Amino acid sequence: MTSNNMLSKITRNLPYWILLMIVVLWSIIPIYTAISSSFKIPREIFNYPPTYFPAEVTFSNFARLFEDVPEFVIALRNSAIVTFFSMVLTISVCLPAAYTFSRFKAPVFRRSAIVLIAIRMFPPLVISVPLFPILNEIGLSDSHLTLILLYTTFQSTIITLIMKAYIDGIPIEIEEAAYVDGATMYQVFSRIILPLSRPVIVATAIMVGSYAWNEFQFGFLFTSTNARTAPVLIAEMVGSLTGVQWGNVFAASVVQFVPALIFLWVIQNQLIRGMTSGATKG
Amino acid sequence: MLSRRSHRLFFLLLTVFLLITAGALAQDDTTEIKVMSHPVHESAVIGGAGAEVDLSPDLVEATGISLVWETQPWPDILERTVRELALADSDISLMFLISQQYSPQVRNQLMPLNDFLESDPIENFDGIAEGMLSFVSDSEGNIYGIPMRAYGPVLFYNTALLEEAGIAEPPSTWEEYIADATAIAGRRDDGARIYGMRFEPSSVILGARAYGGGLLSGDFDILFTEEPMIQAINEAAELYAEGVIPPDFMNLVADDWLTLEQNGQVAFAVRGPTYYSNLNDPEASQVVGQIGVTTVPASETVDFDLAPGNASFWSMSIPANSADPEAAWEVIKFLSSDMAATEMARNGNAPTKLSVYEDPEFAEVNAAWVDAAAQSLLVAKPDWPAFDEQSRASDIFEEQVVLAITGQKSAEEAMADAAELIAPLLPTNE
Amino acid sequence: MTLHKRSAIGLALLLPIFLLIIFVVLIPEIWAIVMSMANYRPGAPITYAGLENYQKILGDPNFKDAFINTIRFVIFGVSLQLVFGTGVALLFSRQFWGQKLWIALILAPMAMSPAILGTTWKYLFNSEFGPINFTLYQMGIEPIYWFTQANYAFAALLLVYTWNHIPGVFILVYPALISIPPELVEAAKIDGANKLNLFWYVILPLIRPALLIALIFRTIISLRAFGEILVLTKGGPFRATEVMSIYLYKEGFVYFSWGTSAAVGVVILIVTIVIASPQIRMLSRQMMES
Repeated sequence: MTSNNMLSKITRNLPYWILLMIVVLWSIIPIYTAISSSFKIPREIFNYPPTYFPAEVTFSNFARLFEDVPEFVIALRNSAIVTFFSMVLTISVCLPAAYTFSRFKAPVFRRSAIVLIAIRMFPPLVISVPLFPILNEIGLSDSHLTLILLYTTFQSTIITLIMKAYIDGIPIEIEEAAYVDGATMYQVFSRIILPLSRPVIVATAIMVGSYAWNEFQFGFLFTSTNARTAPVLIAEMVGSLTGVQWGNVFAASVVQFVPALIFLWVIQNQLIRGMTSGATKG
Repeated sequence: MLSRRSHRLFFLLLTVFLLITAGALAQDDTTEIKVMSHPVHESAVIGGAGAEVDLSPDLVEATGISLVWETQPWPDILERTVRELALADSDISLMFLISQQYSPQVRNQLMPLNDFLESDPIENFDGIAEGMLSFVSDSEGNIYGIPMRAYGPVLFYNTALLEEAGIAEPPSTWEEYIADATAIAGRRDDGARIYGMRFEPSSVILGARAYGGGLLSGDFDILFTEEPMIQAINEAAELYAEGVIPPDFMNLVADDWLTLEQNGQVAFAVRGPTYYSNLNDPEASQVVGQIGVTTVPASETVDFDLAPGNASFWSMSIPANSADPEAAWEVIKFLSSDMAATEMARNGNAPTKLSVYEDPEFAEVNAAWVDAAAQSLLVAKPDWPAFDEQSRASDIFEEQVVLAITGQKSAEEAMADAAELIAPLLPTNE
Repeated sequence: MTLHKRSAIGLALLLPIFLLIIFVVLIPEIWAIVMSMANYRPGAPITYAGLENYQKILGDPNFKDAFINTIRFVIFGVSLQLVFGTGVALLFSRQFWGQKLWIALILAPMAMSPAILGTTWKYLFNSEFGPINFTLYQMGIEPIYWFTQANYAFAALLLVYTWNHIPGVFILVYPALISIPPELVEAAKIDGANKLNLFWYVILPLIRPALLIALIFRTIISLRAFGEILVLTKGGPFRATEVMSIYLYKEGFVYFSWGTSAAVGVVILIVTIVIASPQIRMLSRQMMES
């Protein structure tokens, strides 16, 4: 491409680039605010007029965060535990179900799939009030297990449907050939379906993971000091000894969302390619 | 689908997660107990926010117990504590509750402390100011809390702002107070707003009391439809219209106000005397050394001098679901001792033991506010009595107050509506 | 393998997911119906209340407002999300240098927790020192007290909520857009179609299925919006942003009136079923035909 050519291309595309920049800047406003404020001296966060860049870059917010709010480490740990086991449980529950919906054509399976979809429409908040006394009764209040079960259940429908769409795309002939060779169903599942499904497993695991990592509602209602997750603690952190320590809040926010951003980067292609069959977070 | 590199990154992240998890599970538990409270109780015990004594080493020495604090700002602490009480099991062993929370419903979820008091009494129990225990007891004489912090609010004023407006003396009547606040409000050179006074929807209760009225009588009779409250609301509506109080006053919570006051944007603030140390904390405050303290004056139309403020009055209680009631009692005993009460007072706690007020050292250290605080405590009483639907009633009341102040209803209408909604929530008189 | 045995295996594979749904969703749901007919408060004896709780909430003007707010919130919120989500997807259907990075940046809101979004936007909207009001002030506009006036608060909430959920529409519409065969677009251009016609007659029909799915998901998710609203406005001012989920939360976890709160839950459930049932039917047909 000659430079002349390129120049004309740039000028032709300039309006679109400007539009793109506006959209991108608009999208990252809060993220930028949180990151830049986390490196400001706390007094500067409240500065009037506000500053767009830290006048003096400091890491003191991060250092003080872990000193002032030792619970934050525990909250991160709780988030990690809940996220990890939600991923594992969701995959192990949904993959067999997806396989069934994809390969078993009896009407009973279609009908149960519709039940699954209908259940997904149930607003999570509606079960929270009855769940509170139930969890008390069975001794599961403020526990990791509660959150893991809730997250898994509320993600299971969509994950199953995504996996089903993927398994639909695996040629059934491979399996038929294996059966002819005398393989059992278990062998077909573990030697053929499982390895071939690895990409969708990774992608859906990340979807569940970022949901569990960020979830606020259930975490807020069903945890106290024991299983409290990072987002809940951050929302609670706006109260401390001397007014709101915005420095700590922003530092904690950055620590919380950086892993989620990395997850998003990994899963991005998966999210925007070929998941028209209803993939979305919720 | 995904590239191989993405997969590797994913599994790497997963490993990190696992390591964190494993490390966490290996952590062993210590013999700490968890305490749920407002941040002021933590700073009373461990210092901080301009205060200096840390009692926790003494506590460990005396009882072998160390405290882990779970604090929540006002007003979130109210619902947070009640939510914690509703759990079957809780990690919290000890809780600090404010007087209006001791409703029959909440008392049912607390341990009566009479047995503890009998078998293992606290030092100088009779030294706790009389009358306080009535707020935390039921009619059968069960005691559910040991008072720890009590004060009547005082009037803080920003001397720099007063001087700038040519006001030499803090106000001596309610009318002067309103006039001074109106005179000072405006815009600073850099564009920042200056407000005449700290004002929250509940502040009209103080106004009504300054005019000789109030909210509810001791027998749950509604007083807020009467003239003093109407007058207070109309006055607030004027302040609102003139920009003396922030346009978004109904959304500002206690911590927002503290920030504004520390920024020097507020001329007068009615609050607990112990916030003196927060306002003089060089780390957080830009008004160090500029803050004066006096009592809240009553209107010149009434025959008393001080407007009775909202008595903030916190007690230590052991939840029925407490993780470790015995340890909690040990802590209560320690914090109620004369020594601890005096030390906490040095940290800016407003003591419930009269002996502390008589301590000359305490009076000297806190000379800036101790007189005003003592006078204020004598007249103060809680805005709301404790009953099951208190938080709903208080929300309804404040909503109607805001509607009236912002001019969407007349004060009379708003209070009549509030009365209609609140009356069914009040306990029936027996 | 007999058909019978095969079905048994299939059902066994479905067992875990259905167990989860029964124990985590259905049983609490039934319990909610039971609770809604009781005077049920923690720390107080439970008594039978019949339909009293339903009478209480249906007679409460605040509940009616919450219902209207919910409908308003869903209609405005979903429209904005769809319009802007589609707009951004259209912009990205041109290939840009660094496409993957730009897409990652505009998807970033998806990776943020409602709790963190709420606190950060709260800071941005702060009337005293917030950057938004400062920018307005510099442009000569008096500061807006965002969370004070009903309309501004509602607008601010819609803005934040839309901002957070544009990526949710984008990830559905964008793949549909880039899978449109370029020949179709070229042919339309040769036929002299202008940009508007091109969008209206060629592109829109082709992305309609994706838009429909986006509409369904966004409606259902907006109906249950909670975290952002709780952190940002708590339903205020004057309950102007109090949607049904916030009303339920306040009944259950602020006033601890579990009976009425459960009744609100049952009402929300019925509303959701009414709104979602045609969509469930459509979606299940689509899923099952594939």
